[in-house]
Amino acid sequence: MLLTLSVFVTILLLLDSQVRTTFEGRKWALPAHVYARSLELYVGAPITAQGLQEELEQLGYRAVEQISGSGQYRRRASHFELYSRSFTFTDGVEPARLLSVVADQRIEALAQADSDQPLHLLRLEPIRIGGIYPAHYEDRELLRLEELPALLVEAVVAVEDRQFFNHFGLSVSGTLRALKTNLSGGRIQGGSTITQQLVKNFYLSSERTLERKLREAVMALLLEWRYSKKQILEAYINEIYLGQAGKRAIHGYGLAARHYFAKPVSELALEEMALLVAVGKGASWYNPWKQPQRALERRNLVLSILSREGVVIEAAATHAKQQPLAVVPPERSSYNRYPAFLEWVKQQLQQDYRDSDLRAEGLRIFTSFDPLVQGQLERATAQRLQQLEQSYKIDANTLQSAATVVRIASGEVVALLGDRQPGYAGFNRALDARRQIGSTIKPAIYLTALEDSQNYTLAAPVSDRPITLMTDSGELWQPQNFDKKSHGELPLFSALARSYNLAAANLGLELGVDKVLDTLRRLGLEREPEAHPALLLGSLALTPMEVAQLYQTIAAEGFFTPLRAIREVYDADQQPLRRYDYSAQQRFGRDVMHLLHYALQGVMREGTGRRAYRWLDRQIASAGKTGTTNDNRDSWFAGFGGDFMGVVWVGRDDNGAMPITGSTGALPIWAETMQAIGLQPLAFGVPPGVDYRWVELPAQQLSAEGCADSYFLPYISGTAPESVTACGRAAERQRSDWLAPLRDWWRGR
Amino acid sequence: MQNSKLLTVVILSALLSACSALGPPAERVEEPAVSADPPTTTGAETIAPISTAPSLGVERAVSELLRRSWELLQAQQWRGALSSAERAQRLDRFEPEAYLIIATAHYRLAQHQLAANIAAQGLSYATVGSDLAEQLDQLVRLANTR
Repeated sequence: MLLTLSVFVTILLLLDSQVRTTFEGRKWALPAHVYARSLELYVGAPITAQGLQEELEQLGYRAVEQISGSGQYRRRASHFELYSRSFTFTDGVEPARLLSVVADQRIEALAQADSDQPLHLLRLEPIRIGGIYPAHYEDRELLRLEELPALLVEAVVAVEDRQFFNHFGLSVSGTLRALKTNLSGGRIQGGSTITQQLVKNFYLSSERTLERKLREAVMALLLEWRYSKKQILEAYINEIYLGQAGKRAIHGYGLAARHYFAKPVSELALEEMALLVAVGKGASWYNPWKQPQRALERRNLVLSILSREGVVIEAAATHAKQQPLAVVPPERSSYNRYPAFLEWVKQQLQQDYRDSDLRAEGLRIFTSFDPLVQGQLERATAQRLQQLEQSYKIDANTLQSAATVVRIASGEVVALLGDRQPGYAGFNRALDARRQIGSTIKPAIYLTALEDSQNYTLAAPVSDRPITLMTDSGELWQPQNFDKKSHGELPLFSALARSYNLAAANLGLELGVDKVLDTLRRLGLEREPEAHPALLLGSLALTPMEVAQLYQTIAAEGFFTPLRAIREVYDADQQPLRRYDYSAQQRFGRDVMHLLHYALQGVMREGTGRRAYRWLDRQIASAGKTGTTNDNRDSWFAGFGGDFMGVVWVGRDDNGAMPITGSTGALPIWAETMQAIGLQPLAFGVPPGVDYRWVELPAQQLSAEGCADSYFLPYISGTAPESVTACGRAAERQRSDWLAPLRDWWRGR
Repeated sequence: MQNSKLLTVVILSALLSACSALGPPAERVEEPAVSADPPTTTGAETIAPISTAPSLGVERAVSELLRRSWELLQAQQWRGALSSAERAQRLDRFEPEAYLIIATAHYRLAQHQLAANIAAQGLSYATVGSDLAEQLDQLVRLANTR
């Protein structure tokens, strides 16, 4: 007897220890959730009406006729009325409020709807774009009991265990019924309370044996003895399995609300809560997408129970029963729609966090990702690649593409495409595909020259004559222009605009390959390529992200900012853990970069990039460079306006030849994307140390506006020519002759 | 028509002779060639500087963010100040005040090199001789001495 008692006490103590360890420690491995940027709204923001609607839909705002609460909007043509959601940011709380927004091609007006008080700035909460999951792919959004609608809690209790607040962990009638069936040799079954269900999910396997049932009962009693009803219910509500999204298991009502209805649990309507409770009975059996009729019947049964138990009045239940299931389309519910970007985020996080922490600590990661820009990039890529394959009779789906868009101000990646198929989670070409960059390297050569301002100006003549060189390794190097011709001497800026290979090779050799390499390093190149002359024509193989890093420094007027994707990381308790600060280092003078921007605008206006203006408004000044490698194996374009810089690569995975160039392949994707996101004109203000002069070319003499062969060119102060052409002198005299207008008037001119 | 021009010339001549002392230096000028020879254009599109001034909407939004950033800085809420000022910088990257706030916050967080670099960037956008330029310049020097 004593022995039996000792064994019983020992078992009891062991079980108690097990109960406490799990319940008081970390109950779940919580995935890290990744968020997009929060959309900033202000008058003039480049957000179209369509873009705003897409953002609201992704946030799960509901289009309604009459706005009654947060998360709802009403649209009449370009006028939106919306009730925003409250969100706590590091620099303050954005309150929930009723807003009036007028959006056409951009935000035209912004006001508090109830008072018509104009607003200068506000932001919407960020969209959750994905997660980094534990090995078992359990996903949940932890909620405290008080964060759940009281109605949902009451509904759960009424349906799952209406005696929950009265029993001590076990339902006597249920247990007796189960015992009777089990002892009579029938199917093992259990009349589980909420506490027992929690014990089963938390501590026990799914095997159906009498011993396991007994352990479940004892542990349920211990749980009830140790913890309050509130703690048990809260754990249950976060633990319950409520669905599946691919590999990801949806647990808890908080996440289920977003999974099925794309909204926070606080905004659920009665019929939506009832559906979640219904699904709790069996997430696959009552899957509302696969078994809508079955799910509807179960939901309505739940509503009947709620009415019977007095949780809701009968009229409300009847009204709710008449509502459709109204779950979001299943693809909306799929997380990780942007795997290429998430991989980039993860790579960055892995420098600071252990993989196990990323998968289990419930981190909240706020990024710079812009779903609107990403959407436009995906659309443009899909459309253009299909068109290219049709027009050039290329086998369907053989072209591939990778691209990125970066916010110049901050060096933040806002969109990233690693495959032509959006959502593809395989090989990420933007990060991992190293391809020769062709002429996209040329700005580095011309920048090296322009930094040597005493010897090179934009007007300086560059030789495009044929060149033959024996390299150190004994190879004969004979570069050629795309048109197989040479073009004598031409001004430096024209040579870049026309992307002549011979000019770039001659200039690069004159400067020294080592110096060009040094420029590339200062632009942000981290590799150490061989200083071979072929480097001058882009034999260097880089990933699109690496090219973007080089062009970011160019676009930001010489300030190097490491490309980044993360802004802040919060822990599971919503406390800030780490900021990823903006950083910058001046690597080139703004004056020299201004000259390079001038030349790169020439590429867009008159050179290989001019096709961009089939999509862009001619008023939008932009700068960029095409790139095409031997046999057209790679098509590149890198370019920027005032706010965004983008790099696009098009090619084949087998590195096969294509009938397309940088201008016909990558550039249209860039241009179409930039047009769609409302690219701002290049910020081309004159920095200190730069003077503009009218210069006649090729004479390189000061001239005047209107004189033949004259160009308005920027010079580093003190480097402009001093001699003046006859036309320039005459214009100067005319300017100083204050009687000239009178004489012209006299002569009737 | 010609008579009216003559009359105008006579009147103007009288006026000019009366105030010749106030006129430009007496220099005999030859008829400029450019007047006789109408200008020809290169045919190429002229690439010219463009103002980088923000629109009114951006200006107001940035101004609100800067105000909030200063408040957070005063309250020694460095993270908040950084977040808010970086938002302003994203909206208008040529606003030197945003760089001043970001650099100041980093300086207070003892991130001196970062503070110096960011202040230097702000300085490059500040109007020469302005108060902001002076503050940024001081910050660059102070941070570089640490």
